Amino acid sequence: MKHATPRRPGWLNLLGVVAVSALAIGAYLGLVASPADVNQGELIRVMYAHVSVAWVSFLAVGVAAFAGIAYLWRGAPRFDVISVAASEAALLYGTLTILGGMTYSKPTLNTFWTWDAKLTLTALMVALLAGVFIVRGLIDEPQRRGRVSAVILIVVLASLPLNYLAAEWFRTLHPAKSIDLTGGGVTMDAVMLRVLLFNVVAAALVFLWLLLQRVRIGMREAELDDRSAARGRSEAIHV
Amino acid sequence: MFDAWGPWAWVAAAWLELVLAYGGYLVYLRARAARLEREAERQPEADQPEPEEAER
Amino acid sequence: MTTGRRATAGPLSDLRAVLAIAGKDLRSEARSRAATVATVFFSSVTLVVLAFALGRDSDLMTRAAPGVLWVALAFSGVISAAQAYQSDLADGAFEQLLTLPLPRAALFLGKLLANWFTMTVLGAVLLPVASVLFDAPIAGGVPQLLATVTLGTLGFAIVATFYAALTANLVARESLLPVLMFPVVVPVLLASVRATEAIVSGADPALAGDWIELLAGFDLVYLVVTSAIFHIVVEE
Repeated sequence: MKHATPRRPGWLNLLGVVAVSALAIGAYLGLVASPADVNQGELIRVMYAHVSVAWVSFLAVGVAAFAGIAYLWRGAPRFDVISVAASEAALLYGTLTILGGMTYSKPTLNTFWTWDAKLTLTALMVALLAGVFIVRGLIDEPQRRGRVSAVILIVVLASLPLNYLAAEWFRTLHPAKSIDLTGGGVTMDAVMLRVLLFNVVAAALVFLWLLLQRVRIGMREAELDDRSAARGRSEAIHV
Repeated sequence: MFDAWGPWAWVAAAWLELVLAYGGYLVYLRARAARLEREAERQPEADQPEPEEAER
Repeated sequence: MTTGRRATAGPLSDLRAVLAIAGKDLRSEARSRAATVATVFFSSVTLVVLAFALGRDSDLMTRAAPGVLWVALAFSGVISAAQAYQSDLADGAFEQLLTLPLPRAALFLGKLLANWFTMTVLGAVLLPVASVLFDAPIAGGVPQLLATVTLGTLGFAIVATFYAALTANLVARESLLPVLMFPVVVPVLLASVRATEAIVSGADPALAGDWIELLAGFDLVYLVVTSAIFHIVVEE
């Protein structure tokens, strides 16, 4: 009997449509409908792209870590699948954040890197996530693999506030650049804030869409993994 | 080289990064799903004891 | 902690176990000297090479001294942490340790203690050496510097001991350990360097105190987190 992968469910496709539409609307709002900034001019439009993915990258790490904890607690394979999927997304969004940060700081501050606390934190987070994937690649046994990566994700989660504190202190005790790279700072124009929040939601919807697709694939892979392992074992008995 | 870029060039770059990244990940998902299909089709051939592990 | 598994349960025997494990590690290291030779050599080379590299600009050298010190300590720390498990794994001693009715955290803390001790001793030795090589006088702030070294190496040792156990069974562990460790240990190194700088420059004593407090906070958080999840890392 052929076990074909079931067709992608309607609701997932709908989510995709909604997410991409939100992204398009957010882009329109950010690029056309919103005003230029008093200080940064049109460059503020970079901020909408950059900050929205930044927020979602941390959301993704949170999902990955808590899914990992759930896996440690319950042992259900789906939690490990969710954890990996969210880790991939976190890596994607985190890398985007760093790229976007560089795209933002070069024209505004004339340098690609300023050791801004949030960006430094993101860079460290991306390095940590890369470590998770390296370790996963080295462990064959699925349960051990899931448990070890969950453990690393717990350390990653703990490191986030600490790395942020260190980066923030490093900067303020030797104040180098003082322009707030989120473009917000103390007062952000109400319109801009709304546009930013819309883009955050759009990015989050895209994240959800990508995550669910990846989870579906991962669940199916785990299923196949299981079945072939079982077959392997029964072969051994026969021999 | 980057000195020649006006603000809209940077804005375009930033949003293009988004599009390329999302698009790239979707391509990766398609590729992974395709590999999964191939694995699934090979499995029912029960005579070959090949425990191919779908990684991660 | 579960009880009833052994005749004497409770925190005191756990503490004895921790000290016993630390003592075993330190004694075996004293006998084999493998890690000691490597770390002393490595840190000396680091100090000397960087002294040469920066030597033309004496002001730069003095200002770079704290950073150089901690670079040497960090690299050496990674080497000795990896060593801590190698000798155990080689003769199967690690598996034997795991069969003992000890809480896993005790095993972790014992190894941590040994690593921390060796790193602190190394730091205490490197301090005057770096001070001389880089023309960075330390006379005034020795107690604070020792506190910084102790807390900084503790933070480093916590992360190193934890990840060394995690990578011990993996292939390519030597290259993997620093890759996994450094993003986590960055705040510890940062705070240690900043504190050392503040003490050596003597300009702002309160600043040094702030960084040392931050170090203590880091150490506490990482200690609690790693101790709690260590048992998963070494489970079979």
